[in-house]
Amino acid sequence: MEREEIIERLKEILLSEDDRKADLIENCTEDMSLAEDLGFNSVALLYMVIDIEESFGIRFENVGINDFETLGEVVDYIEEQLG
Amino acid sequence: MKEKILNIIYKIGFWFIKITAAPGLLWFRPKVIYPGGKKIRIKGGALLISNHITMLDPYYMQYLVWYRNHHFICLKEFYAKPARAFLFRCFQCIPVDRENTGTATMREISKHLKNDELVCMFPEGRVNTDGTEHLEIKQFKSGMVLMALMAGKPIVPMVMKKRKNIFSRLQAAIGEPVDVTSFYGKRPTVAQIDEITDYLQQRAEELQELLGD
Repeated sequence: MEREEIIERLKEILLSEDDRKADLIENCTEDMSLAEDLGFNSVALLYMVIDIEESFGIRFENVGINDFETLGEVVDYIEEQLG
Repeated sequence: MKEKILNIIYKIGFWFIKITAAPGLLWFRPKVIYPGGKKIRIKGGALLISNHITMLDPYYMQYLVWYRNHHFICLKEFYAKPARAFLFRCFQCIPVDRENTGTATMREISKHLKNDELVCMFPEGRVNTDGTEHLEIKQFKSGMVLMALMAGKPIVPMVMKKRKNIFSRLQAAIGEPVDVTSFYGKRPTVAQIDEITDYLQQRAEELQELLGD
């Protein structure tokens, strides 16, 4: 799966979680911070992990919510898992 | 092999504590009030949530819901000392890193709930020490809703009353189980999860009123 495709799917996941931030999510970039720039709290981040696992068919092996600082780091992890 | 032996030791420790603590029922004389007056028995997998007024709350909860085995969610830092860690393992606690909650913790909680076990947590996040007699319930954190959604199990609200002295009877109110999927389905948005959290907080506050001063 191409990196661009992963980002688009990730945006869809984030949008389904929090449609109040639609503009922000649609225009987000890989270097944006999940907590500070996108305003995701710990519950939103855990929710994102659950949705990613289901959507991409991967498993996050004991990953903490603070292990990902930016959107790009999440994309890196998904890419790595997808091999 | 080592893990199996340790689990047997923890199980022995668990039953030793349960049996030796049983006479405490006579001391605490737990009294549970139910809205509508009809007794509510917690059956199957459920997340039991309670206000947090003292460090002894997990101990009290076991007397109040004496007919179930409990898994408590407790802070990882409590495992720092070996003796305490042993005790928490006997009590089948689930350690959680408050600063960096991990997927392993989520999966463990979900596993217990799906196995029809009772998981207990304090959604205020810490012991409420505002110093007043009528302890106002602090804002609930929404993580509990996510856990219940993941496992597809209900949340049971409970409120304990602060004991006036060591001779006071242990009192609590337990509400009807709340099916968190009945509000917005299995995949609510984060804002909707917050709404469900507020709903549970309201139920808890009503239970507190039921208990009186």
